[in-house]
Amino acid sequence: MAGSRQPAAAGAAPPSRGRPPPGRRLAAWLSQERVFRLIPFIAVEAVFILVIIIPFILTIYISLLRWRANRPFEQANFSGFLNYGRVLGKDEFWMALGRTFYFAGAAVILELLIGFVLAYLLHRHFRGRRLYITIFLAPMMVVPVVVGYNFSMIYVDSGPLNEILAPFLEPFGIDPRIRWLSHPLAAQWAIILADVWQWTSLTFLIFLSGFAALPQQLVDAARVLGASPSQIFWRVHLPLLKPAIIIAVVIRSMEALKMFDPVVLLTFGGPGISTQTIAYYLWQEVWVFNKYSYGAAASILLLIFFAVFIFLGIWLLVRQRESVRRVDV
Amino acid sequence: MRPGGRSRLRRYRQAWVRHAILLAWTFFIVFPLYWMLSTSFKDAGEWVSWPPHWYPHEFTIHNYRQIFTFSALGEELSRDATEQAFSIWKALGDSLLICSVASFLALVLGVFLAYAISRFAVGGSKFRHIILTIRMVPPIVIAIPILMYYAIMIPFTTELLFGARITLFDTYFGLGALYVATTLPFVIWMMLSFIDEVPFTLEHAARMMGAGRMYTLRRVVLPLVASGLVVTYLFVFILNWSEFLLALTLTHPEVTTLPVLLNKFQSASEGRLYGPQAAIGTVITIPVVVLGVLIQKHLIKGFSFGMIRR
Amino acid sequence: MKRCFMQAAAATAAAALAIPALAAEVLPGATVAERALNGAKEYIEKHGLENPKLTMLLSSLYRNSMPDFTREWTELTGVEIENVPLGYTDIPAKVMAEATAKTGVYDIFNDFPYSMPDAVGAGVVVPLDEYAERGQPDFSGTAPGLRFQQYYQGSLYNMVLDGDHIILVLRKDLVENPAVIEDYRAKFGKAPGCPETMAEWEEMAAYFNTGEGETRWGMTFDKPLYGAVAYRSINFSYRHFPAYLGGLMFDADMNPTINTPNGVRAIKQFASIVRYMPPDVQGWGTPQIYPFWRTGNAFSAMSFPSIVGNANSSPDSVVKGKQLACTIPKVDVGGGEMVSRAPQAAGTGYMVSRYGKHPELAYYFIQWFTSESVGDRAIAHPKGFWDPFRTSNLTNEAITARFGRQFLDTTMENSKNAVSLLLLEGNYEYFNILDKHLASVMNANITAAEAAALIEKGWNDVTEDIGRDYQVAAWRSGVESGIYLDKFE
Repeated sequence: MAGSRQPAAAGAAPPSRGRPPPGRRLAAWLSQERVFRLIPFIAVEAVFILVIIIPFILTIYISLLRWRANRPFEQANFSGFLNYGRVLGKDEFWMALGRTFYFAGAAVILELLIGFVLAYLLHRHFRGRRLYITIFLAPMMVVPVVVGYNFSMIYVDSGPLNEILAPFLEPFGIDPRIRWLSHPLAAQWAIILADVWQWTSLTFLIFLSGFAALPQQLVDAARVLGASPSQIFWRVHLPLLKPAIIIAVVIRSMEALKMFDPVVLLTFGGPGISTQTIAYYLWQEVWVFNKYSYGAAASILLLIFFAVFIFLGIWLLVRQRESVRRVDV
Repeated sequence: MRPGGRSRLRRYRQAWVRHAILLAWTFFIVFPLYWMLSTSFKDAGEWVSWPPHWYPHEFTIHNYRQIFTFSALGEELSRDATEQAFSIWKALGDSLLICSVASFLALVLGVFLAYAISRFAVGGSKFRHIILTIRMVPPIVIAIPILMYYAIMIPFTTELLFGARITLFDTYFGLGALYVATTLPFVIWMMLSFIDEVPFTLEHAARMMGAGRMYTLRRVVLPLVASGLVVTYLFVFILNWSEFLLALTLTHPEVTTLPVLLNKFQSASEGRLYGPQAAIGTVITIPVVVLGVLIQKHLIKGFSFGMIRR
Repeated sequence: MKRCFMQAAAATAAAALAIPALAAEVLPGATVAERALNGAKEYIEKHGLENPKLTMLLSSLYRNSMPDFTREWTELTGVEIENVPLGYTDIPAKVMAEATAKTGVYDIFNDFPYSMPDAVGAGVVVPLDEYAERGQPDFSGTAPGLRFQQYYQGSLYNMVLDGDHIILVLRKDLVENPAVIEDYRAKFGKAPGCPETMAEWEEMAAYFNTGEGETRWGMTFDKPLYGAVAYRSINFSYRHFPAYLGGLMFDADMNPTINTPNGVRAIKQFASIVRYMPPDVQGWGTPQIYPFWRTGNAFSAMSFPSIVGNANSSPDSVVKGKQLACTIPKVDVGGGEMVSRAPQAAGTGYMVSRYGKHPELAYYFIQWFTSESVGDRAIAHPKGFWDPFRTSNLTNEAITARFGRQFLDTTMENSKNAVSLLLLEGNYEYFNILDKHLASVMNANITAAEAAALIEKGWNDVTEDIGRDYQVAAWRSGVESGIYLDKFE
């Protein structure tokens, strides 16, 4: 374990007078510097190991077997890397992966842009600001399953969306009762839109926090020096908000790549397979087709692919964190 | 026109554009929520009709009676298309229990570790970021192994050790433990941003006066980050409250959370029961949104993630 | 894990040994239901049970009707049955999870017969033969395609009370409209009626397909009338496709028969009628198709039989009393041989869990419920979704009142051609491969011949993955039992 970098105070162990009750002694022992600093670390690591790491190792083991749930596990044979080869040779796996990046990319870009614009518009005080913020933050609190249902009600052919569009379509002789979820492209964007509806609130919140933390003196100084609003925006706001942007990108990307709920609730991966995300694909292979070993191998491969992004994200975070430290100290 | 007048005009125009954009987004946000609320008060015939009814023409609380019922519906409440009774009490109780306890445990564990990371750089300087990798693992990846682990390995081990088969599959503890593990990274991350900001000198002073670490943490640090604790707890609570995939695969029938219950409304043969589903949606959304409003100020602070220093 | 397996194996062996002892004695009682009751009472007495409780994983379709029968069973025997309703799409995964977890939380699974092979392979359900030996259930009066789908690999595993083989329904008011008859006769040389063949159905669909605002037969259509509507979406196509294939999906060695002239013909025919269906039919399931039909948007519908009852009882229906039920039209399977096949698309049955506490007791409930005397009442239950399927249903007054004579006669006629869907392990994957490629053909992304080749390859991959020998054995025993009606040449 790396030693403490900060000038920690010398661990003054409380002087023991007489024989304190055992509870006290335990507390005293726990309060010792060398013990105290490690307890939470060990506890948290233990949770991770017990709940995540062991199943993860089990995943690797299952991925090397040849096991479908329609046979007893006890009869599963070892099959080496057979499953991995199968996954890599499967078009659908790649298509689902590509589609996931397309969904996540489109959704995250929209969320970032809209979230940023909204936060910019709301970063200074004016009447009604609080109300806007309250409303804009609400979607974050809504259970995603509920979001899925709400949008399925809105997209339904006799739904309000078509009613809103009807005046624009009927003059051209188009039946306004469009079935949004039955057309591949429309269904894809219906899912992206549901994601944007819910998660723009998070990017908005992060940017709003960013704007709130901006050193106002710097902005004022720039203004006094005669900088135009656009100059202030590009030269002062944006560079200072870089950390917030990175955080928003990293958090949203890693959640968007897991996109599952709206797919299940809105389209079931359809029409055809046009809205199957990788999470949905895996879910189907495992829970519908019972291909446990195949699913495990696909999961491991998926993690390897994601790892590239995960480490890129973490590297970005670490780097900008360190730059903040340098400015700070 | 005087220069001041022109700039005022420009300000007006700016304000107008700003409000136009904000109102448009407000509409976009509010509309689905409004539609849910309005559908929850509609009778079966109005759920899907063309043209759609913007508000319930025949206001009814039938949907709410269905979901809050304690027992099977009587003849009076039964109707052809929507005769099912979907009592939410069990799921509501399970969700509240699991989410509140799991969030609390995650918070306790996370706060201590965040403190240790902040003050002693436990785990190395990059540990605070590496811990996020746990959050990035898609839950589906660990769903089957967890099923096996909970339902086979743990019972097998406990039988070997204590002579009793203890399964974690479809139990409060099993799902709760997963929720603790999956939300810990966020707790640690968010709490770090608060704890990092507590001036070191304060603690130093307390320590000089002979206070132990625990005492310092409890009496000096935690009170200073109280708002952070609240916001972190609520954020994690919301994450757990919303979790769907793990609950779907690892529970039922003994344990049922609200998202899983909601999913039951979806069936190819029954059609979607928009009314009761909207009623449940409303019931589980409103408290969380109200909570969100109450902690709004802290929320904005909590989400700086300590990346931006004041 | 090994140990669990050993225990399971030991239990199976013990059960196998127990058969001869039990087999000798048939339970007392004149009817199937009485024997089941006596069996349950005897079991409770023998094991000294007090207020025994069973749990049933139930398709949520039946959540309002099944409790009436479980309550009755409790009154009769003292055995309480807790129903755990779940959407039928989620049930197979729960059964498989139970196979892995072995919690013993369920005693009875309610699901389609075609979920049975996976459940049997995973060892989560028990064969019911030894119990049936004592209880003597009566499967007579049931068409072979429905009766033998209760068996897998020669053993009884799933007892079905439902006849959900697909049917065709036409708009009677149009078919019997004098102006229509005259115009139709001029064109085709005969009056319109139930089509003999799929090709004729498509012809009729083309004829009756009417655009918005058109005036025909002295009527002006203020909304379009589509020639046909049927299930063409993923997770539904496979339930209809056997009607088009008109034969076995594999040969005796599990080589797919899809990549043959007949298979390609079936794919083409399956896809071509989509022209006369609403544009979004590929995204539709029952919640869309039933209202579409009953609000008078289509001339014909190929569907689950409950579409008729639904359209007769829904308040917004405009086709009440205007429905003409037809048997499934025939297809030309080559050389002019005409075959009609009505796939058993959604009939549900009941299986007994291996890990439950009282498998035998669970069986007696199933036998009681699926017996004629109780089952007929279930089919007549106003809130039930069980469809008539056996001869005793024909004479039951309550059933006749609920479904109507014409429909009952047609469905009984149709049941003679009823065939089981594929009863093989991994069938949901076989089905999905079929559905995806059918969708590609309907979207004109690939030709029928290309699809046939791709389906053949996909199916072979699944077969190899599960084990060809294993699959061949299961397939042959299924074909021999007569569930697909066709036999190997």
